[in-house]
Amino acid sequence: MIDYLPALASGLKITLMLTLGAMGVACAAAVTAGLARHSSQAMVRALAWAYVELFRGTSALVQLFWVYFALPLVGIRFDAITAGILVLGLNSGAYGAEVVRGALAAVPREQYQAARALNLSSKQTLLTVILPQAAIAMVPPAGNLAIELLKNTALVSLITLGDLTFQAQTLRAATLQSGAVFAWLLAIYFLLAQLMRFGFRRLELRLAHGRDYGGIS
Amino acid sequence: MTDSAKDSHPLIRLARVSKAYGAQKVIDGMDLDIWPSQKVALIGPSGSGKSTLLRLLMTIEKIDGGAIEIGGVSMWTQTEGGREVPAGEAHLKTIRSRIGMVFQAFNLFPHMTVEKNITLAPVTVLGLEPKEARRRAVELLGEVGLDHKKDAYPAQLSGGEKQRVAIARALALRPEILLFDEITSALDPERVGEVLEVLRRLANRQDITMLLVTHQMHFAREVADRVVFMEHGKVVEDGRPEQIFEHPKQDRTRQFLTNVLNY
Amino acid sequence: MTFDWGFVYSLLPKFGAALGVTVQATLAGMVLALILGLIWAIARRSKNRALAIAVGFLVEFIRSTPLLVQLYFLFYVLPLWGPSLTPLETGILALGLHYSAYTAEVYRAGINGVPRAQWEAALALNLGRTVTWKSVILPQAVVPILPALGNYLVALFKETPLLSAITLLELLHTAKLIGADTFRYLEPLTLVGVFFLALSLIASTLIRKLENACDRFRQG
Repeated sequence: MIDYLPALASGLKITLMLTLGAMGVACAAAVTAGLARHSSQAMVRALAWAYVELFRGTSALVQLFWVYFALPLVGIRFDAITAGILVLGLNSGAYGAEVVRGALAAVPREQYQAARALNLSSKQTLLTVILPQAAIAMVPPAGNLAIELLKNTALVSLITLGDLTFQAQTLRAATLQSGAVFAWLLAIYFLLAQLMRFGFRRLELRLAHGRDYGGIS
Repeated sequence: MTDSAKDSHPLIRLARVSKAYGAQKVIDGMDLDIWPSQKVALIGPSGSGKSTLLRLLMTIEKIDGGAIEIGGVSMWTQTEGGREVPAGEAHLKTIRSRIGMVFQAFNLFPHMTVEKNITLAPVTVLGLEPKEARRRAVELLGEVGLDHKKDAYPAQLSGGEKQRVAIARALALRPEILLFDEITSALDPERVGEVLEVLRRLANRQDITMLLVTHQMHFAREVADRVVFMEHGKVVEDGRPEQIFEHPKQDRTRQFLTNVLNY
Repeated sequence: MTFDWGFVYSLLPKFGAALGVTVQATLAGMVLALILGLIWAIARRSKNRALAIAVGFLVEFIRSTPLLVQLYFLFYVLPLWGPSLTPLETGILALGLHYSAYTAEVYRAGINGVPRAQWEAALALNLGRTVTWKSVILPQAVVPILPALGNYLVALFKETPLLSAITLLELLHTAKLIGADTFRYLEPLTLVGVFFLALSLIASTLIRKLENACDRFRQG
């Protein structure tokens, strides 16, 4: 195992970078598209719908190959890590948009009415009243999506990016100890996933603390 | 076994039975003997443990202490190589084969026709031929006045019809003991009569021992030949219906009856 | 470079065969996922605590690790222990195993949705364990979860391109080989994307219809 460590450590770095970077892209995409699905403009709603269906309807690996192998042929070129962060982030963001949309729809109508009564602008209403409340409902599904994202980072090994899975493949070829290498690899992913689950649970507890709608329960 | 020997132990015996949910004692050291072919009404305020008693007898719940015997056979223990051991599933199955139950909310299987509801257990438990089981199902449905409904699904029946099907379903296993848990409580008032009518006929059968939990006193009076008044998981008073309803010995019984009858 | 439609038409026969492989892997993988998931769900309710906890851990483990790595594990490690499987068989096994962790959760929700009273009625009728599960609980548990299972069928279908990593000639691998041969990736890869998008959209429409039908069943 000691011999494997340097290679796995460099792979871990790439995997974490990809996960965190793609989570950033996913958050931005999810909130933008989630809000856009509630937009008053039909064009905006249609665009958001097309984004969500396109990315959810095809698989992450196909998207990754398309961006990495096909797009350069029309002159758009990304390096492997940028392609990975972009595709995994947009893919996850499409699922996240549905989470955001659902959470926004679940905020009671009375909250909008209360904000209207206080003469808040619609932007103020959204930022100070609606989103903070919807955030609580978003956390558990977002946690699940984050773990799916982590698992999806393994795909970048297929576009030759040196993540954990790629390093493990190299080790396997070099040492021929397939059982040990992949067992370690599975264990590392499992541990990372458990850490993320723990983190999201903490976040959920913190956000949920002391919240109620101040109405009749 | 001679008749007197058979009669020497009761069909159902509860000895110091207790059952608690958390800190709440629902059955509290209860003793009760029930003899073959008796029709016993269990009455008492809500939470007095009547329904729990039936669920204990049906083995849906397990007792915490004491013992239940059915026909002299211990329910929750069996002897194995001369030693008393906790009852296994086979032993419980044998015990259960003597008991049937009808529930307040019918608990019919919603995805099966009336006929399938009735034949499922006879075919899979008793090993009856499906054809024979269907013939008996129609016969039983006739007895509860629903032979024309054998192909209906429970959702297509009224509450009273559902409950009559549930009774037929319980009868299909030919139990010696039938437990009725507030079987008219979930019914529209005008549907109570049809179920009561079925019960009245069952009450005339010598081969069936009945325990019924009810909040309707006229029901207890019409069907039962023995009334047990329970409170706080214990028997407060036990006697013939005329005696309990007209000359209760305990103040608590009188108080309870005054409250429910005046209501 | 422009999108060459003539090239696209010339590719279609090759993709026909690949689509067959993809569909085969999807259906066989789903059948396996449906069976294993049910076994996990029932085992997690076992009175044997150790078994229930072990299966719970297994499901969580499968769910938290990448399908690709599981695929490699089965592809490279399994032959060391026992029978060597073809790439298609390995792929089906990996897809089935991976998605069984998801279907197990769906089954669990379905089983928990069957009222306690149904278990009690089965007990009162002295139905054995097997009959209770087979005739009473599962038929009621499965109908409401059909749409959720359908969604996982679509998800599984979309993961079949991963099988290209173990040399299976499904849609994506076929596209890649064509690309390597002709130096044209745009058309074959786009075609694969369109395939998946079209089939996914059709499938989700069907699932929505199923959802409505299931709702009606529950109300009936």
